[in-house]
Amino acid sequence: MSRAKVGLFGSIKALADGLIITLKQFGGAFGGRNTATVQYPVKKLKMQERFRGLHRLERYTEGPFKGLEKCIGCALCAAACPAEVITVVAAENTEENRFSPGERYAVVYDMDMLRCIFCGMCTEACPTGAIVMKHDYELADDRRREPNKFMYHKEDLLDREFHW
Amino acid sequence: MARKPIEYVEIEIDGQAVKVPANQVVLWSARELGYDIPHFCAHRWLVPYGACRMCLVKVEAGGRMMPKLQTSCSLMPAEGMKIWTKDPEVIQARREQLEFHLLNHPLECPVCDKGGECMLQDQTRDHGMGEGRFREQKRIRPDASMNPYIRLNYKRCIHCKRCVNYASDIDGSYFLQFVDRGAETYIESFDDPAAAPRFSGNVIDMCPVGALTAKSYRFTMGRPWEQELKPSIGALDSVGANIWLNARLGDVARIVPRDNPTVENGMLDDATRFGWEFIEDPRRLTRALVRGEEETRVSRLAGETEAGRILGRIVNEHGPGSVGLLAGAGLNTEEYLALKLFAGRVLNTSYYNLGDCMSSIEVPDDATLATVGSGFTTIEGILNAATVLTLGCDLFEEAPSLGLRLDIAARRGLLRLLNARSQQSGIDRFAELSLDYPFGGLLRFVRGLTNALTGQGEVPPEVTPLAERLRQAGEDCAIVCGDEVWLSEDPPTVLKALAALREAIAQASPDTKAVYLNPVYKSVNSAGALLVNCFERLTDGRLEGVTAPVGCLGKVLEAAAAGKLKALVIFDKDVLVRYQHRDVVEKALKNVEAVIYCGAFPNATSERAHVHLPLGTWAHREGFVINLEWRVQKRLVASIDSVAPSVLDVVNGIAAAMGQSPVAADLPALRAQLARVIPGLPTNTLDDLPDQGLPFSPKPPALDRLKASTDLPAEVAAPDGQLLLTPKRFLYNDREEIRFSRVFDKIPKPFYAFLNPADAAKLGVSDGEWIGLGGGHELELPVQLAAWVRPGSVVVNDYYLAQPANRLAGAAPAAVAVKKLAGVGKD
Repeated sequence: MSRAKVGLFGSIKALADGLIITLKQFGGAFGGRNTATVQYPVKKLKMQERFRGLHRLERYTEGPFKGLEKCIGCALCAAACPAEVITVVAAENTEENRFSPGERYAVVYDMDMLRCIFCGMCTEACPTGAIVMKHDYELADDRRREPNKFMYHKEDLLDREFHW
Repeated sequence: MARKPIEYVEIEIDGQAVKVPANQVVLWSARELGYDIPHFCAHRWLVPYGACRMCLVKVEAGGRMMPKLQTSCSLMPAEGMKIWTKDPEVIQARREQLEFHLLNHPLECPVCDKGGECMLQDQTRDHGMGEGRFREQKRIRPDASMNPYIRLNYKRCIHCKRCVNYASDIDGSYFLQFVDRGAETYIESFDDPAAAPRFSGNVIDMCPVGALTAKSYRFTMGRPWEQELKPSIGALDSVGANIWLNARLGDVARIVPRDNPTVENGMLDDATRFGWEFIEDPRRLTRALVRGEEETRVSRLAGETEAGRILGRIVNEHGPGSVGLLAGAGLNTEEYLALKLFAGRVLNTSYYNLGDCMSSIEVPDDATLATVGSGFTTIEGILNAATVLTLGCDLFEEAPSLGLRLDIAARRGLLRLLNARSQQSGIDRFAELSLDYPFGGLLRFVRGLTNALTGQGEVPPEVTPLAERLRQAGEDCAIVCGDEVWLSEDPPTVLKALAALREAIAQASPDTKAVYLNPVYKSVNSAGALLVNCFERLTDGRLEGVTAPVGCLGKVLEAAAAGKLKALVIFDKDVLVRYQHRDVVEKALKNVEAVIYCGAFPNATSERAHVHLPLGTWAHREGFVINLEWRVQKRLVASIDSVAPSVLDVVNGIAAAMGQSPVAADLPALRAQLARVIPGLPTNTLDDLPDQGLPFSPKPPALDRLKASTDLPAEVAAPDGQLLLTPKRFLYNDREEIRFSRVFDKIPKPFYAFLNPADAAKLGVSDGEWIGLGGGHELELPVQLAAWVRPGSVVVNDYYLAQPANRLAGAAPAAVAVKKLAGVGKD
């Protein structure tokens, strides 16, 4: 397309069209309609259901095992993990001290979130649906060494309160 | 039997013509050729059983199709036989059979310890239906303990009967049995609480599902794929069982066999398999102990400095030859070289002894070295011999895997087993002939036997039946001798007598082409220690600045007792308990100015040391280990967090403190030097040595003809009212691998005075009562009645720290007074 064919008026119109969008969006940032900017951290987005955020270890909420951990300490999540995030140490349930339905439970379940790439393989590998990925994404911290937020232990992941 | 050459027949598998051995069932031949035939109940150790029906194949034999599918695990090949392993009919049969196996098998692979190394899991993936159709209640039965090591997850059992067949056909202890029938069949253990299990752990490997699991590994040690494996060598006997040392998260997790068919064939004894907890035991010395006015713990460096200061002063003041050095047989071969260099160049002494077998006074002479360094055969060679004569050893206790393999061969009639030793032993059960003689009478027995075969000299009547059988020894004959040689007053004399016996058999038995003599050494690397100790004469190698030892263990200790030596340096050898003459050791430890002990754990000798330096266990130190067939094997450091010094680190540290240069820069340099010193060593690096090891042949001095004495020593007999004290080596004793591993706490250890019931009746004692041995009750032990004890003797464990047998017995054989103790040990 040559410039002569557009003409002067066409050029100005094109400029104005673009500028109007800019102004619309600019206005939107101050609370107008049609906004794409979210006022984070004042306002937070609701993530899609499929979003892969921070992990959580689940419990049975109903049925005969209600209240028990779903995790059986099989370490298949650790085997599936491409980034070697997860460390599981299992132990045997006793009648007095029962954590999970079967014989085995995880006595240690550590996740090193500095390594995690949020690929979701652990949730796919889990045979009991014990580990799921929820929508938390605020995982930063200003310390690398413990105590920090990056090393998640079992008690951090289990019964974890979620922000939204 | 120098087995008959294998005949091959030509058969057709899946349309392909192949040659397979005629004496092997089709299953194994086909699997060796790469045809995947699934199976559960068949195992290479076991005879065909045909329970699981997974190995079904379609067969055409003699031109006719067999009407039904056949189990290939029990099918012998015949010329022209045709076999189909991938026929639709076969595949269908497998799928349906596998569905039956899975009927009662719980689908809890994520929980199961076997998950990841499970045959059922693998085969279900390869041949299974993908989905079960069984909706009913599965069979449930609670778990049970089979013995102190093993737990049965009953619901996972698929009734393949491998473990039961193992317990009856291989182990021979019948500790597992099937009870009840049909789907309700379950395994019950006939567990005798008084008997210590010896080979039970192998059923854990054999179990194709996760039914039999190790209690020590159960759940807590991670999954199979998470283990870091390092090849190593079991430390409990001189067979040197090949093991994988599994570690996870920096801790040892378990030991599994490495399945070296030429060495231990995957048959581990329980002490080797379960004895790993000591590696990480908190009682292991990690810092040095210095005992001056009081006992202080200092850093390893400070300990080495202190040791170097003491030794430097003594060497300066008293000149060469003022320090004695002793080393046990748990070290690696290159570490012996480091010690030899340390003795020669740093301590400037020729009073040193490496290893534990030759506890005599003088250095073994040429004839002795020729006896041990030539004329031996491999473990395979022993098992393939037509006749095997075990002399003075209880192989089930001293070299369990070799003993078990010999036992199986004798049971299956593959060889003639002849035994002679001071007590009956477990290996007698399938022997053609078993003789016993009083403890200490080995030399008399061997010479008498030789005389009977050569027809010269005096012949005691008891050897005649053995001599008759040895006159028809078959194509080849292997003599296996053991602990009674090393416990005798002068092992070289006995070894030379055995060499003479070897020649006598070769001459007396006309169709015998070869007679071998294989001593079973006391420890895992005794052969390596002997090799380095006497390498000047066992090889062509030379080493500058190092003189040959002036004597053996006895000589060093006697020189120390006589005040000739001013200091003793002892590496990993509990000499106070393990040397027969306790009085000499006591005197030696008292008369020297300083005792420097280096070892991983405290023991009776280290308690007397002025400086106790830390040393790694065998899992912390890498190197070459040489077993009883002179196979050089490798041992690597386990992938564990704890680090501990090697012998080289310690001697270099002491040398530095004495102002001397290190004996070698590092272990690879030391290994390279070892290969220079010992020509013919198959490799000079650990990397080049294959995992299964390489054979090595020492070059002992050539001898024309042995001039053997035909004189019989006097018959050993205890005077009236006394019993013959017989120290015996047991698998479970007080060695540190067992003492510091908690798993063995539950095992009933043989710390008893074993008495023949007839003697016990005479003394009026019964099981569990205590007796005092010796005039002043030097040993006080509970009695256990045992029919295997020779009447007139009392058998005690040769390594029991609380009641060491060498408190009595200046020299074996010793007759001791025995008295019943009233009111002792009735707690």
